[in-house]
Amino acid sequence: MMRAARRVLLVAIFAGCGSACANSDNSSPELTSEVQESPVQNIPVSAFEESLIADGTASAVDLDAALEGVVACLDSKGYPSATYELHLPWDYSMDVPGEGADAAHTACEAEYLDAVSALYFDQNGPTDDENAAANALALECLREAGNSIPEDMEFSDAMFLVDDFEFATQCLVQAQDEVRPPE
Amino acid sequence: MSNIGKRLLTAGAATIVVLTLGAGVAVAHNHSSGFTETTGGGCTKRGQHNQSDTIINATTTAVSGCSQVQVKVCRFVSGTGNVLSTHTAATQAFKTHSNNGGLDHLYYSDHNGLGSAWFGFRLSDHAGSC
Repeated sequence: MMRAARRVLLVAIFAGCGSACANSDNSSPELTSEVQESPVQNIPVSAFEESLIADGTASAVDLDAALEGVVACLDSKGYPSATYELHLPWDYSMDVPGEGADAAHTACEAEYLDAVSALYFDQNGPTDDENAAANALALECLREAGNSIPEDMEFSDAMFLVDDFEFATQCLVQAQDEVRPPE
Repeated sequence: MSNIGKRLLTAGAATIVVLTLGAGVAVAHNHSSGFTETTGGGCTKRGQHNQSDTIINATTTAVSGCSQVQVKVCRFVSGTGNVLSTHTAATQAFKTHSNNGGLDHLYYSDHNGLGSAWFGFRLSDHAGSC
């Protein structure tokens, strides 16, 4: 089962029950099935994406293939210099040089990436506990470097207190990688 | 309060985008020298941030139920022109620990006022589930 998938419990339909049900022993409708609400249920899935996630899972390899699809798509639309970098399972980024790239990028993501990416993070993204652990480690990293960070401060606020922002971000990435090694 | 903040810091000293979460903490920051941004799996561009910020605060709806969040930035890079940059992360990595279950605020700073900067974000389960 998908870890973070939301579930919708469906009340059973008593097919064929008829009047006998009304006379049954005060039983409440039973919960006889549950249906998962997929993170991609409202996202159109292209044939390309379907080929990657047909088994119901999206791996880092699938996501990488989807991003390669976006790059190729952008190339075909006149944006040959798109690049991306992965920092999974936490995040990834893409740069697309060129005027008017947004429309092409949006279209290419819809065709090659959106469903795969949403499913990937749903199934593989860090848990709240992992995220909290990463932030705690990142705070520790800042403090060990001599920064005075109030005890109750979150990392996202603390990072703005640190003069060396590059160092702060390195602390975060390293902490994330420690909590969940890169895929 | 937020438990993570991320910035996309851009090349060519054009823009800086601050994505932060949670309690609406006004982010005012100054960096007096250049830096290399390494957060977020690949934002390895050189950037410089040495002017006062103009903060644009865009409040989102909660992202509960969304599995990822994406920030898109169009920035101007000297010698290259406009570059569309996107940063996509697991929602958890942007998530407040209890505050609305998700993304609360985005802060955008076009610190040098070029006016060419464009900033947008979307919730990547955008096609209805959010």
